[in-house]
Amino acid sequence: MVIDFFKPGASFLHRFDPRAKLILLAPVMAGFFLPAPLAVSGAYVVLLAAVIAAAFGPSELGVPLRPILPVLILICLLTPPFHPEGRALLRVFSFPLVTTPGLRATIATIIRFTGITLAFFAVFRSIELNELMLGLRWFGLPFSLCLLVIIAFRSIPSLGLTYRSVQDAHRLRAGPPTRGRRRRGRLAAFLPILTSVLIQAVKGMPVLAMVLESRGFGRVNPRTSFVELKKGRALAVDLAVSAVVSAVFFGTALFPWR
Amino acid sequence: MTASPLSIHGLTFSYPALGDETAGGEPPRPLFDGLSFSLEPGETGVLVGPADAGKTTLARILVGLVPRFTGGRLTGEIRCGDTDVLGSKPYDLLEGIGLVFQDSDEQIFTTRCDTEIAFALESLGVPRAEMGARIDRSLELVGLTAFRQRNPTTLSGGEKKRLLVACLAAIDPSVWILDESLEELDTGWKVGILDALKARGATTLIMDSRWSPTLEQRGGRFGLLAHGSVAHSSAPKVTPELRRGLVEEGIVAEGRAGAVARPQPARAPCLKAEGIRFSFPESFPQPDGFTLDVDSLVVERGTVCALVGPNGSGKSTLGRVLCGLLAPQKGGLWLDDGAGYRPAPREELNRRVGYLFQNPDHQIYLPTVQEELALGLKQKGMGRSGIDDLVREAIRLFGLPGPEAAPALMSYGGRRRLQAATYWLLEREMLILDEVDSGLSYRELASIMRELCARTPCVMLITHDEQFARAFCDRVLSMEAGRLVGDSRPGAP
Repeated sequence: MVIDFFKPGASFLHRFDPRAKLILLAPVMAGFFLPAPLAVSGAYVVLLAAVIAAAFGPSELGVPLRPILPVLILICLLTPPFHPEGRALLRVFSFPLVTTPGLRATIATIIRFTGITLAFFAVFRSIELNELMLGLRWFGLPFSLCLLVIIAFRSIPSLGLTYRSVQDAHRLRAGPPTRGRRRRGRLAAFLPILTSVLIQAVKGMPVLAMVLESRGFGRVNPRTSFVELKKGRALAVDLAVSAVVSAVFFGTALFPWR
Repeated sequence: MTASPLSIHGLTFSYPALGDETAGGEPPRPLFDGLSFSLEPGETGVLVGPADAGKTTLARILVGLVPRFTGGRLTGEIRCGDTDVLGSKPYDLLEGIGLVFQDSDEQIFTTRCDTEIAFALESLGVPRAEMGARIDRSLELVGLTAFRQRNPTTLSGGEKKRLLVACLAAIDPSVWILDESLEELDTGWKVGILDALKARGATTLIMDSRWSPTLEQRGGRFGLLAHGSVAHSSAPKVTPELRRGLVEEGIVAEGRAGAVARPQPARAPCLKAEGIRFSFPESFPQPDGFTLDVDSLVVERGTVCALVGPNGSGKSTLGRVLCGLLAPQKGGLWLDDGAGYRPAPREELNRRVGYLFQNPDHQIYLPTVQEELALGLKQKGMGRSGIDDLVREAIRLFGLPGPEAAPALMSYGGRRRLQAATYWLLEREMLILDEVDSGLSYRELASIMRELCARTPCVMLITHDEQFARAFCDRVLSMEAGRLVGDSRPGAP
């Protein structure tokens, strides 16, 4: 039952204070919704990709992009038909399938979606869960709420691990699908695997609650912390960097480029 | 006079569901009925009992988790020193009495070994500097110092259990409860941890499903938990009466119980592995550079083979390679149908070699026993009457509650038997049983093994119980650091 989203390391992103990263996340996300030119928004996405590649290695870019690829394809397929106005770039019979505004809207949505995904990835790939918990507590969230957030974060990849394990178990029990029933087989196999995973998750909840109480969750004495976050000048520098980057991001997004 | 660190008097408990299920106006049958037991300071108590005797429930009652989380009716008295356990909350008992749960995967919830240990210390408000020292000492106690910053998911089953022992060692409660926590540990670590607890003067209560010489040598007081009460011995010897009870409940190993007729002639080759090299990808960091390195292994038909070795030696990894779940980076696997060896692709291995996972819930997902058992037979294209006959036979042989019973509500032992029954029906050429002995008495384990061996030409049992392996299996393979280092045949003249 453990998250494997965080990747240990000593890069500049890992060393940057988690509170500063969380503060930076909000304006970066909001910035993708500002009416900036596509080239500027696109440049931010490229910049985020470069930051991720520098901090974790270029191969890490595939980790967040692979899962969103189906959504990006759906955006490409479904957005243009909803913008029939403007100059038609591609027509099917008399219907303008792709127009200039449609293409712009598609690219803008893809940039937004990819940018927000990369921003979240950069932050949460470099924050260890205990640091995240301390960061959230620094913002004034009560410990119980922070723990809830952490458990929720942890559950997603944990369910992924259980899913893979159950998938292996089912594969051995039912045998791999033959070529003829491979496509149908994948879909048919999904439901029982999902059922097993959900049963596991539901059964695990009361045990987790027991474990937390048996490790002292619920005590009234002040809680100490094994992990320590930056203090004083080091924290101030990181917060200042965060503020400057936010200002640059917002400034360039709101700049009247035309 | 010093108060007993742990004393239980007249404990009676019944789960709410047991009462509701009782029909015909009979009173609900309690799981425990007037149970009494106590431990002296520094004493090691060993409480054994068959699956479903209530060991886990008792362990959780002792730390205040039951009936707090489960409901149920509980009467009697439990005292931990001067503390009334039944009147306390689990988090307030933290320094008095601590529990290591049976299933390690359910209780690990952080991303690093050191922070896993730190959680309880943070709850207690231990200063950071002292916390670091305590974490170091606990990791050293269980031999996991090198794994301090490692993600616990990447540990082997036994290493996870050792980490959880370290979590308790850091708190150092007056009373330790180990709920089958030593089961997945190799003998060396089992002995090491028990001796370390004794040296600390810790009062310890060990719950187990099976009797072992290690426990007998190190236990100070022994009890058999069965039929709602504890029959216990006077320290430090096991009385003849208690030993009879252990035999009656199938808690002790009963000689070479595996001598059953097998359908295949002995020693005909079934599967060959040669030049196998496997190491985990980067996503499964192995700081000790673990590599599975098996030069040659031939598994024969008509044999029950045990795979033993210390924690993290690569037993499960080898099992997963043999059934095609993991693809080795080097080397190959060959199957022999009687006409000589031919290469075995992974998909064929998946179909012909079965693997019973440590967690039965990963292989059980349908709403009734009937549907669960019938699934594989339907996929084989068998007719309905044939399926019904075989399902009835499987229910009888494996002692399952009935075709309409819901697997999700069955006991752990019941789910284990159901998991085994599904593979019994599938008739694989080879079966790998990955620590299926966990949580089962010798009688239950021997019964499952006997049925599977009678129908499966070749069975490989991955276990830490060398006593059972030598008593039951024809061949014992030993592993160490990813290599096969021993191959013996206990029954051979």
